[in-house]
Amino acid sequence: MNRPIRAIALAIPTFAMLLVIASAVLFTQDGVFGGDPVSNALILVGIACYVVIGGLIAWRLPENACGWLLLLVGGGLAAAVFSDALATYALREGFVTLASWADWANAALFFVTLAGIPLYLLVFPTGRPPSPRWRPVAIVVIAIAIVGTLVNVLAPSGDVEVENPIVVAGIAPALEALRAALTLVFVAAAMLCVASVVVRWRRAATPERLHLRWLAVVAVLAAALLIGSIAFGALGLHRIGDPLGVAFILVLTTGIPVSAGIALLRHHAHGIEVVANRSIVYGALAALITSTYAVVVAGAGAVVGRSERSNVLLAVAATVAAAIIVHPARQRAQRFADLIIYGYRASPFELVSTFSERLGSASYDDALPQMARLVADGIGADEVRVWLRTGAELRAASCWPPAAAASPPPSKQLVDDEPSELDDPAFPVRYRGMLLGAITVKMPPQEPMTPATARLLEGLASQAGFVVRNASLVRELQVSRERLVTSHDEERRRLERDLHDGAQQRLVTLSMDLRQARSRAAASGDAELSSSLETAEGELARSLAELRELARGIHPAILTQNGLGAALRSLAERSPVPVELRCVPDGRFADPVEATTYFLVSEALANVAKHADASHASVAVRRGVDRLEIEVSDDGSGGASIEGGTGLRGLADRVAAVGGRMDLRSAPGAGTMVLAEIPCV
Amino acid sequence: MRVAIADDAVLFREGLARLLTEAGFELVGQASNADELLAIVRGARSSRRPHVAVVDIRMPPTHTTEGLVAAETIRAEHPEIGVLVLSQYVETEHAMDLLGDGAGGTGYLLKDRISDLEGFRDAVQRVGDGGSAVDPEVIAQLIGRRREADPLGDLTDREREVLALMAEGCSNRAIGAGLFLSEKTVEAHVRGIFTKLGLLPTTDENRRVLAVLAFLRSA
Repeated sequence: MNRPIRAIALAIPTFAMLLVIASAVLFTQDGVFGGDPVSNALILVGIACYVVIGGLIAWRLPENACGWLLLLVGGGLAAAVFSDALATYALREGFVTLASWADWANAALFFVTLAGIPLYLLVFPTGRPPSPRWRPVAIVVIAIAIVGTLVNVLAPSGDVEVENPIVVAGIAPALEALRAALTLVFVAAAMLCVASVVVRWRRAATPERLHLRWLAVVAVLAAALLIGSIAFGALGLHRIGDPLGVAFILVLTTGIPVSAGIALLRHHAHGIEVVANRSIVYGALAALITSTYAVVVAGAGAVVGRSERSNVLLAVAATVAAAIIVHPARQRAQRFADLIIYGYRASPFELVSTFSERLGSASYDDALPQMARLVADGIGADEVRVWLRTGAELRAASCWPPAAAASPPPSKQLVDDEPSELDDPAFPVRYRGMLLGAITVKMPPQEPMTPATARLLEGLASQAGFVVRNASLVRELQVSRERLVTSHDEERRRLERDLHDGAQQRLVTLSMDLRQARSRAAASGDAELSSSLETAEGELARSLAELRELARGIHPAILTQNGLGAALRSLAERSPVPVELRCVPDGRFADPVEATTYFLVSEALANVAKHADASHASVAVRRGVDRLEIEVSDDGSGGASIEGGTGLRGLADRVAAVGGRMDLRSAPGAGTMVLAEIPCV
Repeated sequence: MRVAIADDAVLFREGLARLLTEAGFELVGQASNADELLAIVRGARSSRRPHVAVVDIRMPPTHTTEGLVAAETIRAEHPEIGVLVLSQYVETEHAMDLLGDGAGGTGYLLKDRISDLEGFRDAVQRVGDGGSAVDPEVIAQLIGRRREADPLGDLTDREREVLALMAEGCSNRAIGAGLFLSEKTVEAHVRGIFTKLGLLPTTDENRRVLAVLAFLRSA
């Protein structure tokens, strides 16, 4: 950056600060300044704000006129205040010539300083007027500044005690008329400049609006304070009205440069926004806690009366109240501060860090919805979709807001391995150079995407590669596990049906035939044949009974016939250990859910009978919002473990395969409890 | 007594038909699914209408509970026709469904029972006459079910035997015949059982089946 320009950007505030300090010193002299000390101090603070922040902006962004205009206003004001103070002081001390020149300088600075403010409003925040059509306004203001300065330089002093050292007395009336005309034109031009802010707001895209928002905050705050001050003053409540008036001056003098500083520098100095953010949070918190304390102590104190004891109690109560509200209040304040500072819901750093943090801890089936949501909330998008690649196409895998999710999810063909066919701006997600998916973002129409947001999204998309890869791997795995379980169930059902329609049916028919054969043998008097046929019949009956139990174990017909409730009741009736069925769900569920639940309870009860040495077991299957909650417990010896080879591992795997989870509580001597959750709709 | 049968397994159905004919029943129709059976029941003149339908529980098209549904339909349309449902497995649930409100005329047996010629013939006869038949395994399972406290603890062995036969749907006379007791003695046992179990006494044989099963199931 240009060295001399930077030097000027530093020199002006330095010089202006020296003037401010000198003015402050002069103000302390008797009779130099008539105003009250608070206003004096505020004016000096305001000037300091203008020059310091103006200097910073001019130094960082010398091509932007805003910084220079702030320096002009601040420097001009500093010089004006100083020259005024110096004139008064010099006059009092008898240095009339010095006083005259100081007064002349003061008058000469007037129009230049004054012109800075409308010009600033005209060009904030870009450094240029909203459009070339506004350029004449700027030229008029500048012309007034030049001509006005010339008039003031040559016109007689308005003060009787001092005289303009270079006054041209002959043209004084003409100058006076000119000055009046200039003032009128200036007021008109200044009003146009204020109007330009509104015009700019209506035309502006997101980043510019965010900048203007700062100015709007200042304007609204100042207006509110001014109205409040006038209103309370009119009501005679000067104790309230006067401080509001002071606050108005403070906001107006410091607000413009501070808002400019935050708006223009936050992309160039990250520290500023953090400081501003923290200031808002802690300022709001301090105000809140103080007022809570005051309300509790004053309010409750008025009710219960004051005594030493009650004071202590009130203090404790106030502290407790403050402690209770501090955390939620802090979150609110933080959100408020974020909203003010960033204009959207999270800062880029927060977004990036939350993104990796959340995605790192999200369960795999939750990672993609989380991702869509974080991006949407983070950049204030209308709609965010996460696409996953399946072969040569992209398929929408997740969407935020969920209401926007289309059914069936849209899919797009890939062109040259690029997600170029998507309707919204797309940010490819890659892992080791391979395209895995994309994030598409639809911004609100009035806030198109900025290059900064696009860069942020590119960064997030590249961060997402690993997560998306994991998510798609896990999804594939989950789908194939579900397929395995479903086909396993299908297989069992088919097997049971084959047994039922085949072997069982034939054997029953056979037993009928045997019985008839035996009748004939008995009728023909062949006792030996009859008796051996009877033996065969008995054997066949036992085989049938065994086959029946086997088939029931493979897949209980009643589960398909009457559902989970009936199947569980049947199971409980057959259990060799007394089973209390505390709760069974009505209605039907998807086959894998019913089968998994049934086999889980069946296997758990079999374990109770075989290993637990229990006198009692209980089963509860409850329907939650979107899942079945299963609990099988016994009062046996406990000490079971999932890896203990009692079939629990297989159960846990089976439950996991349908997206559920299983838990085992089995302390030695304290019974065993199998807990599981299985998603269902 | 006229009988219609329904089963999708041809071999079994033929065997069953032969067996019923030999047992002295008049076979008025064979069906391979519930719709055919209903057509037989609905289409026949009342003189050719079966007194009892013997139905397989699992038939096409879904192979689940077609038999139970058909039984319900027949009972609703023709309360005078008994329905005996056969199954490869017995489930208390199905027995209770069939017994309904205890009006009788229903039966639920394991398919294996057909090899016990006399017992099976009795059951068909009983259901056709408006009585009830519940498979002994259902009763055995309910009585033998493991509980914290045995609800039948107060019953004597003899009373348990009477209870089991009563629950299968046997009449007092049949119980007496089975246990070599006089009908009067059986009546006394039945009264004693009802008192000990805290059940309301009833002389209706179908209702007492339902009462006993419900008691065993809930206890």
